[in-house]
Amino acid sequence: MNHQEYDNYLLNSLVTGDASGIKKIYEKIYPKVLGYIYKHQGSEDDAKDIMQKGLLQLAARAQTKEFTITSSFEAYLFTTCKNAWRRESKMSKLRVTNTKTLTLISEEREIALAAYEQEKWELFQEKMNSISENCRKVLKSYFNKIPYAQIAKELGYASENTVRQRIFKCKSKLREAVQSDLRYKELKEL
Amino acid sequence: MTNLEKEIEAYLNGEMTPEERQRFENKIHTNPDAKKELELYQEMRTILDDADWEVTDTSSQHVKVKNYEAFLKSEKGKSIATGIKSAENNYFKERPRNRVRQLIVYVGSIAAVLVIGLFVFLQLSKEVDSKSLYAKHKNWDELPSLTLRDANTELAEAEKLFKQQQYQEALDIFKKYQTEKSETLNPQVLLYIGVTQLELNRNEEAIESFKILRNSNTLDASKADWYLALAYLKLKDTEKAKKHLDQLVKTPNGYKYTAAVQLLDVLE
Repeated sequence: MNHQEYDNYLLNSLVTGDASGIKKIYEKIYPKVLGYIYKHQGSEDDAKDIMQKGLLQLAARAQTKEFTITSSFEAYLFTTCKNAWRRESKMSKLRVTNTKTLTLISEEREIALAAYEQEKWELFQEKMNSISENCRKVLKSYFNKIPYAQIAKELGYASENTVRQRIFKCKSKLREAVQSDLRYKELKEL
Repeated sequence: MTNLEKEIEAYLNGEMTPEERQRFENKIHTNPDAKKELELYQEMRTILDDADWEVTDTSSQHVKVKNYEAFLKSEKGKSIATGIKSAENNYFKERPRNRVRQLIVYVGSIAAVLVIGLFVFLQLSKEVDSKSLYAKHKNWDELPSLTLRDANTELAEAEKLFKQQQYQEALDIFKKYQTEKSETLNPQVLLYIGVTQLELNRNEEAIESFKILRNSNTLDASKADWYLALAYLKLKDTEKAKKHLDQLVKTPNGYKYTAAVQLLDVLE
C-alpha cells in the first residue's frame, strides 16, 4: 500500500467503524495527540477524550458527499484534535467567566457543534491561504495579537501607521474572499 | 475599504464614543447586510486567533449541526463509537511493552534524582567542611597587637575598632596608614588589612593583600601562606588552600607548622 492507499484504508476503517483499522489510527496518531495535550496543560485522560472526540467528529463529517481530505489523514486528524483541545480550553474559560450556567447538552450535540466549527475554521484557513503571502503574514500577526510596533519591525514596515493601513486593506481582501465563497453562505444560513 | 468596514473596525476596537456606538448598533439592527459584515469581522478575529476558538451557540439549528448530531445518534453512528472504544481498549491493553518502558524511565529518573541528590549533598557537605574549617582556624586574637609595637595612636585606634568588629572603620584607618607610609611596608598592618577584608567578605581583595605580604621581604612573609590558606578555605577552594599549606609544612619550625599539618590531614 502506498501512502494514499493507506490513508484511504484508515479513513475507511473509521467510516465503517472497523476496530482493527481504528487501532492502527491510534498507533499512528495517539502519541502525537498525547504529546500535544501534555504540552498544553492537559492530562492523559484529556488526550484519550480528545482522540475519541476527534475521531467521532471526523466520522460524522466523512459521511457527507462533499467531504475530502486535502492533506494526509494523519495531519488532518491531528489538526482536528488540536482544535478540539482549543475548543475545550475555550469552554472551560467560558465556564469560569460566565455567570449564567451553560446548558448541558448531549455528547453527540457537542461533537456535532465542534464538527461544524471545525468546518468553518477550515474554510477561513483556506481563505487565508488564498490571499497574497504579504497580506497573510501581516494578518497572522495581527490576529494573534502581535503589537503593531512589533509587526512593523518584523515585517519591515516604515511605521505602525503603515501596518495599520496594510491590515485594513488585507482584512478587506480576506472578507471579500470569505464572503464570495458559497460554502460560507452555506455555513451561515439556517 | 468601505465606510462600513471602517465603522466595524472602530466598533470592534472599542474606539467609538457611547453615542457613536448606539448609532452604529441601531444601524446593525435595521440593516441585515451590515449585520452580516459585522459578524464576519467578528468571526475572523476569533477563528484566526490561534489562542482562541469560535464556539457556536449550543441551540444552533443549522442543518449541518443537526445532521451530524442525527448521524452520531443513529445506529451507524453508535456502532462507529463502539468501534472506536474497542480500538482504544485494545490499543492501551497492548501497551504493556510501553508500560515496561515507562517503568524503566520511571526507575531511571528516580535513580537520576538520587544521584543528583547525592552529588548535591556531597557538594554541600564539602562546602560545610571547608567553611567550618575556616571558622575553626581563624583566630584573630593571634594577630600581633599594634599598640605595643607602635606609638602610632591611629593604629591603636584601628586595632580597637577591629576588636569591636567595626571592620569598615578599621580598614579605612589601616589603608590610610599604608598609603601614607608606602615606602616602608608594615607587614602587621597588611595582615590586619587582609583579615579585615575577609571579615567584610571582600575575599578577593583579602587574597590580594595577603599576596603582597607574601611577596614582601619581611619576616612575616611566610605568615601569608597561612592566611591565604584560610581565605581559600573560606572560598571553598580547597585545592588552592592545600597549596599554601604545603608551603607551610616545608619548614618544620616555621609559622603554624603543626596546624598546617593537621589541616592538610583533614583536607586529604
